[in-house]
Amino acid sequence: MATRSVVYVVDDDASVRKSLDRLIRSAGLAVETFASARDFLAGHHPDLPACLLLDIEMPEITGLELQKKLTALNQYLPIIFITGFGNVPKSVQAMKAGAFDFLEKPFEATTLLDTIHRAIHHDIQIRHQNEELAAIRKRSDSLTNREREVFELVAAGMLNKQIAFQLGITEATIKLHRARIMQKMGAQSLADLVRLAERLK
Amino acid sequence: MKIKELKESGQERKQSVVETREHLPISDAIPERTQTAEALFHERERLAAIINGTNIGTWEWNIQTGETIFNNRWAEIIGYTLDELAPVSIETWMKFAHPDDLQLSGELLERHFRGDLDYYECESRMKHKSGDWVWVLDRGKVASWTEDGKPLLMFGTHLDLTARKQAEEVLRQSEELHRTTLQTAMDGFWMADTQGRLLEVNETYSRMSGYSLEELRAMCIPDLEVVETATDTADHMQKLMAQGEDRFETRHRRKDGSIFPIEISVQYHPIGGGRMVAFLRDITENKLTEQTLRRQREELSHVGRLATVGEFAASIAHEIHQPLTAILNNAQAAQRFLSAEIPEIAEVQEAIQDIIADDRRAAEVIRHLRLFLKREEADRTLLDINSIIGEVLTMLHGELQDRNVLVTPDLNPGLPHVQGGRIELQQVLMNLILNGCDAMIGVDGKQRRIRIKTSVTEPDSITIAVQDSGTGLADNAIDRVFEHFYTTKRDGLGIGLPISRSIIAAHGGRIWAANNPDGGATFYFTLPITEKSL
Repeated sequence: MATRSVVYVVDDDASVRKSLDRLIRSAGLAVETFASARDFLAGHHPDLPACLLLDIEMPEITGLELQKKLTALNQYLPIIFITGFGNVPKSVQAMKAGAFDFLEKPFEATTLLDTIHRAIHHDIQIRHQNEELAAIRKRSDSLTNREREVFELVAAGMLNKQIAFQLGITEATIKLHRARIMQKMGAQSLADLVRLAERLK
Repeated sequence: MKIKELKESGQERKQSVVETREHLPISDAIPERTQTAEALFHERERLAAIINGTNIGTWEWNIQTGETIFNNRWAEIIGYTLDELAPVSIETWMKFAHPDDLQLSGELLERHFRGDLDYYECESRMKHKSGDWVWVLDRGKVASWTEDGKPLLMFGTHLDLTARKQAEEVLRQSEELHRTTLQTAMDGFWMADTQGRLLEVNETYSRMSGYSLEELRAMCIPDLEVVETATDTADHMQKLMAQGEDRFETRHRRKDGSIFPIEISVQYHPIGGGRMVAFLRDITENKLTEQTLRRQREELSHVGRLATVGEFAASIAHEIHQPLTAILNNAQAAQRFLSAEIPEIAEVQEAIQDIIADDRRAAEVIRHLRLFLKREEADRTLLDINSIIGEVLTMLHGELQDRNVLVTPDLNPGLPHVQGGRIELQQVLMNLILNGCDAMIGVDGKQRRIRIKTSVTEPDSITIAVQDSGTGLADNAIDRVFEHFYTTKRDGLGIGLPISRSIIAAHGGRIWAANNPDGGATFYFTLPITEKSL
């Protein structure tokens, strides 16, 4: 894992928290532990790739409530729920709300570490996709209104001639616009451009 | 009294009118008036003032000729002036009077002329100039007779009754409104006198009680009241008269003999010799709701008790689970730190320290549990197992009814007492009874029956048997039902019987199951008879 990443642990039981911290560190991962959902919300770093190991049963704000809160804050984070024995209904609820996975206590170290690795990998991918999308957005924002119009029609599969007719300008001007659009969007080909338009949708 | 005055004034008036007609010029000749004339004049003034003051119309009628004389007020009552009505005769009256009333008036006059009535009095309508009918009280008396005994002159008055009639109409409408309100009220209504006789009853109460309105109006409160005796009711009414109002619950008997609960809100009004005005509400539904609530509470307490066992177990499990999880994590972390290229001994040492601490924590949980159980043991008292069975059956009453299970207790009345924990033994019994119910879920067409028998079967212990008429136990199940997490039920947890077994074992007794020769299973348990109770 080349990028710097962190594993958050939120559990109200001090000894479980400490043992998880140690176990995760033994795999060479950075860990930050929190005793409550409140502490976590105040102390985590939303910009770092991460995953969250979350106790489903906690006083005050429960694990499920923290999950909801993060969704509401639009902060995506893969969550691995830790559940006690036989808490299937809550686990199902957590999965339906978009949890990455859940582990029943007590769990094998390999299972835990494997799940953590997958979760962080997933987060990095998601973050990468989001960054890419943000870059494309930024580029498309640099288009003029006319260029955006032409871009949309090109992406819809229209020929220069048709676009010229629809917009009431000459084909030569359309060609100029297209060249500018390709350049601004960083597209190598028409196929590239269509792909970019798809992602912007 | 008034009538007498009228009679007198009528007589005098007859004279005065005669005077007026015949001697009108007299008034112009006041200077020459004699003493009699002066007296007559004063008398006339006085009468005119009275008539004016009472605001009544007057009439004089020569029955033989039909000639009439009316005063201004007579005409005014029907919106005219005398000039407008001129020339007047008895026809004028007949023209303005309502045809129906005219007929009645004619009949009354005739009776008066015959001597059946001392005077004539009739309320009748007259056509007002505006087209409306106005009510007048028409009164009069024959003042003189012809020589052959026929009525000759009659004098009378018209009193405008419109205002009174309107007031009466308003009153009538208001009464009708009240009556309608009472009749359509959701609550029953009564008005009774101080003897408890029903004077007024509405439809709602009639429907509630099954008696017709006529029947009810001939009844007294004690005819309906179930809880209070007639004497009680009399006392209650005395109290009510003193305090003015009351609100209470009682029960009434319907015509068909059935009894229904009722809430009564009653007020005493000291009018017309004293009236009790009561609103009565059938509270059968409330009572049913109360019963349901009570049953739910009972069920909840039972569920609560069962839940306590489950919750207690879950909480113990959690408390031991946490340190076990930490121990496993730490041990695995230590393993990993040791097997690293450069073993991190410091981390391993810390991990081992934590493992020791978590192990002690788990042991502490178990020690607490032991203390808790000891305390339970300390709570043991001398118990009558028969009364505990009674308590459990009360708690399960609703459940058993819902499941259509008939319980027949067969309790040995001379059962010696045993030393034990009341709640624990309740739980065992509840468990066995509910298990029996579950075993009979599939039984149709046969009475679902649970028999509970207590007896002294061994010299030093009592035996309690809970026998069901269900499907019985499979041979391999008989030995395993008391094992943890063994269940033959779809939703069973497999903890009820193991818990029961631990409880009975802690009491120094035994528990076992056997199939009945005629179907179903019986669960038995024994409890030692304590020396104190022997």
